[in-house]
Amino acid sequence: MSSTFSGIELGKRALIANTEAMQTVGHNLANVNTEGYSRQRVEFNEMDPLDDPALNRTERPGQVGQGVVVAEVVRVRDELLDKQIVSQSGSEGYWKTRSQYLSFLEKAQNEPTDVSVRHRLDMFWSSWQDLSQHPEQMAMRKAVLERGQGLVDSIHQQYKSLKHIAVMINDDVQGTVTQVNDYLKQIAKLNVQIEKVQAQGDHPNDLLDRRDLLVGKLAELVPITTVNKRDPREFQIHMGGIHLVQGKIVSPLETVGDPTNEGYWKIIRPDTKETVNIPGGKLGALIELRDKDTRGQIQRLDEMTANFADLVNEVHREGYGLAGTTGQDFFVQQPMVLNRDGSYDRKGTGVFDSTYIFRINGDHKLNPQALIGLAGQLTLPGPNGLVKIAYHPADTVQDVINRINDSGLEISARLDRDGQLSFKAVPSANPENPDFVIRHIEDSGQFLVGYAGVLAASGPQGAFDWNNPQAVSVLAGGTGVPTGTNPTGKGATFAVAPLTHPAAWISINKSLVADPGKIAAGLGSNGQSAGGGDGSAALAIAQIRNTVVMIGQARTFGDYFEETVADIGLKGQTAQISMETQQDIMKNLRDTRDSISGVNIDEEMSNLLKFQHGYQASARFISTWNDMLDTIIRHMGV
Amino acid sequence: MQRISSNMTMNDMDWSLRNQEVRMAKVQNEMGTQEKFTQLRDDPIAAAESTRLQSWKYRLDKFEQNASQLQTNLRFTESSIQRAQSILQRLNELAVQGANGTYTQSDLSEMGVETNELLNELVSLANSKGPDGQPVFGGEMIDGSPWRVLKGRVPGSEGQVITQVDYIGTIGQKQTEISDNTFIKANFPGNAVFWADNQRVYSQVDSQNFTVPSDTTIMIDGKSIALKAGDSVQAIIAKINNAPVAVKASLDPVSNGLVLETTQPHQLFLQDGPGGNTLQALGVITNSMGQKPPLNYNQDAKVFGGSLFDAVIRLRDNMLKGNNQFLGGQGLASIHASLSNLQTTLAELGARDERLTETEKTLKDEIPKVVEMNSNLVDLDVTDGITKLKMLELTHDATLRAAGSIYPRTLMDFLR
Repeated sequence: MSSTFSGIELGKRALIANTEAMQTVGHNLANVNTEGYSRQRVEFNEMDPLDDPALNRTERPGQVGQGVVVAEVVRVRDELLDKQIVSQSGSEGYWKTRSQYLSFLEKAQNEPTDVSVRHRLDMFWSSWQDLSQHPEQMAMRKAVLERGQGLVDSIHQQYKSLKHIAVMINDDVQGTVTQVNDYLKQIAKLNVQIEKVQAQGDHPNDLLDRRDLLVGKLAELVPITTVNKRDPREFQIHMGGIHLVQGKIVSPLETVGDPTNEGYWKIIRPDTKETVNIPGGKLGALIELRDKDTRGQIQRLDEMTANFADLVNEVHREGYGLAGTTGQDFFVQQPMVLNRDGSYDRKGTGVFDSTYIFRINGDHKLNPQALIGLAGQLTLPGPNGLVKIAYHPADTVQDVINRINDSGLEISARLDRDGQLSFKAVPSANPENPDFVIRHIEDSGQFLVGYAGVLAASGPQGAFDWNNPQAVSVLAGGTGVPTGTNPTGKGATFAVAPLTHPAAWISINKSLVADPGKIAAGLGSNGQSAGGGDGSAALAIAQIRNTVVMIGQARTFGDYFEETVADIGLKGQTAQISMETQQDIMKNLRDTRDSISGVNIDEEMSNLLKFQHGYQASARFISTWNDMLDTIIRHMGV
Repeated sequence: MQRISSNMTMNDMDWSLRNQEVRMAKVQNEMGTQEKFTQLRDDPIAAAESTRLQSWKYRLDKFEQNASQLQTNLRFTESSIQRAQSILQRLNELAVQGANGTYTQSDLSEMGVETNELLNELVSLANSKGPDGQPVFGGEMIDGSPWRVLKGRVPGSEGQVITQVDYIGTIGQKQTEISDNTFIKANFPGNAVFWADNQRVYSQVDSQNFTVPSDTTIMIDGKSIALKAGDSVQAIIAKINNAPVAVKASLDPVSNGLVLETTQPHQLFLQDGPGGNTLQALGVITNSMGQKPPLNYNQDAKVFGGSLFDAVIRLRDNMLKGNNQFLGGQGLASIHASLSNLQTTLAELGARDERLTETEKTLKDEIPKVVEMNSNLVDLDVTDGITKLKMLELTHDATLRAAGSIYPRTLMDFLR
């Protein structure tokens, strides 16, 4: 037996359901422009019918429906698509950041213009040519000094702008870590709220939207994956195998200064103090830009500067100034290793533990086309440890040199002006190894020993190794002598290494600035000082421009500048293209998400009409029921 | 797309407008700078090539400057030598005339006076200074005069006249770079220009059994020749003859002394290498008292052959003495030798001048080519740029027009 007023109840439920549906339409329309909002939908269910079989069943056929009820309000969202977006966001953040900062690095090159270091260097060489033609004129010496000063200034300027970019990136690292931690905390807080709502069996749609939005933003900064597999209520965020968020627990990242890397920020975990490796995202890109790209650019500039200064000094020391002064360096680099033999206290223990040598020259004059007629194996330092290079009797000297230079080692070889074999260190790939330090030279045969006069003995016992504080004692001629102290002496010669960025500290020898007459223009002859009209040293310096000088892997200065520009330009190009590709992918994914979750006004308006009509119909139904009751109450004559 | 959200059309529009604006800004920037790229990433390879070309261009400009400067200097040298040549021709006439035998002693004396004046002029030409104030014929000498003049009395002369002219310049060859690692000699040391005969130095030391005691070097005309311990005098002779110098060495068959002889008229510059003593031991030079070449010949060695000035001085002295036999023989011969040496120098000078002209021509041809190559790499093709810009403007217009009518109608327009 159904209740008299059951119809009114039924109508009321319909009114409530349609009102709620209209409320949701209003909510959707209100949030049409809210970032991260996904449209919500009201799910209607039929009300449980009378009667339940467990109850006493009234004897009547069929079940009478009891109207409608709002089952749930759900948000329309594709969780799988969300995961895909999260995993692709890392790439987008990575390439966007790379593209942006690489563009700074490109601009720092000032190429191809006539304000670049290259152009200043061209002008510098040209001034030496002028001096070679008029060695007696003070004006030409002044020009060499001024052009030299201009060159030094432009090297400093470029170093400063590169360093500035590195510092900017470093600041960005810290800012980004703060941002990451902030997002992590907000996500953990939302997790708590969401868990509470879900425990009541409800859908915290708006909170979920908010969390998804934060996760999306976080995913651009660091490459993350989201998991809630083990316990659906415990939302987790992982990055490269470590937990960042687990439910309400946050494991933030921390930054500390790294003394081995110029004091730049290192990212660690606060609990274990272990360094965190960030494999991608904006943060990963920043660290790579700072430690690889910018560092590489600074190293290249350093390399060019160190080699360039060494080459000019090598000739300049042999030349004579107007008053017969000789043995003067043109460029000075501070700070250098102070010890004469390059001994250096690397570990800071108070005793010499290493030898820091930049260049070693053999004693013997070699002919590049001569067959060496010797067999053996050289052991030289590479980026990942020692590398063995074999040489054979049928090789020419040039063959062996080419083999050394083409093996990707952290040492380069060439024949210098006097035909002596010259080894020079290059910047090291591993930040733990100092730049511009020759780490190992060993020969199992006689090439470096009797033939080139670099080492005194072959085999491991005769090897030069930087871990020995008196390593120069194994060089040919007993001790080896610093270049310039004994130009005609027998034995290998060497130059000590710079301790910090040569590009930051190179300057022109003060005594030359004070007296330009000391600039060496002539080489003299027969061990006698040059006359004022001798321009041979100036010409020899001008010639460095076009000879094979081995600046790392680059053979000439022209090669060096071309490679530097191509290197950074190509990196920029790759970043640009990858960024555009990634942005297209992301646009597609976001469009797809928008297509599923975005609000459509037309759709909402028609829903509004639908629910309005539903409401009106239910109201009419109540009114009809009311008439019916009216009949019973008023006309049945009670 | 199965379903379009209201914001999607907006987002799409936004996205494409942004992309178009970026592209337009880039083309506009290109038009403004007239360069093909604004960032290295736009064309890294072209940018890299361009750095090389720009440096190349700078170098070529420098070479052109070097060549034209050197050419000017050479013209100056040439005019000095030509004047010396015409003076020598006059001296030649005087010698021929004087040798005739029909002239009296006083006639010859008058010729001697004229010769003396011409000698003064020749010395001043040899000591002339170039446009930069440096001696033209002094090698690497920068101040003073390369030819030192001694004056004295000679029989028949009135007052003091020039009796000796010594070369105190150097034999340094200045070099100028005229293309990558190609050099050209930039000067003419005076002791090769104003020289009459081949010079011969005869040592009086018997060198039959001489051996070099330890590795050392000797220097002939500024070129270093390496000697090994145990080299005999024959080995030294062979090494000198094989060295790139215009000097022939031999052993005198009678005295067994070393003989050095120039194969082209010039003064011999002999020196022992640092710490060496070989040429002194062979009796050619002395190393004592810090004497420098060419004034370091061993006092016992016999030296023949002299400068143009020696020839003119002898001619004058014999004119003043009235020795017409000398004039027709030895005198005329050495004036001829001097003249022919000047002509050789002029020929060489002409050859260098021609080489420089050719170099300049090549450079004048090459520089515009390098500029063009660089321009092809980095400069904007304006037609292309304008076309691109117009196309972009059109697209942009169309997009904006479309944006204006994105929401022409919604359902709301039809609801009351």
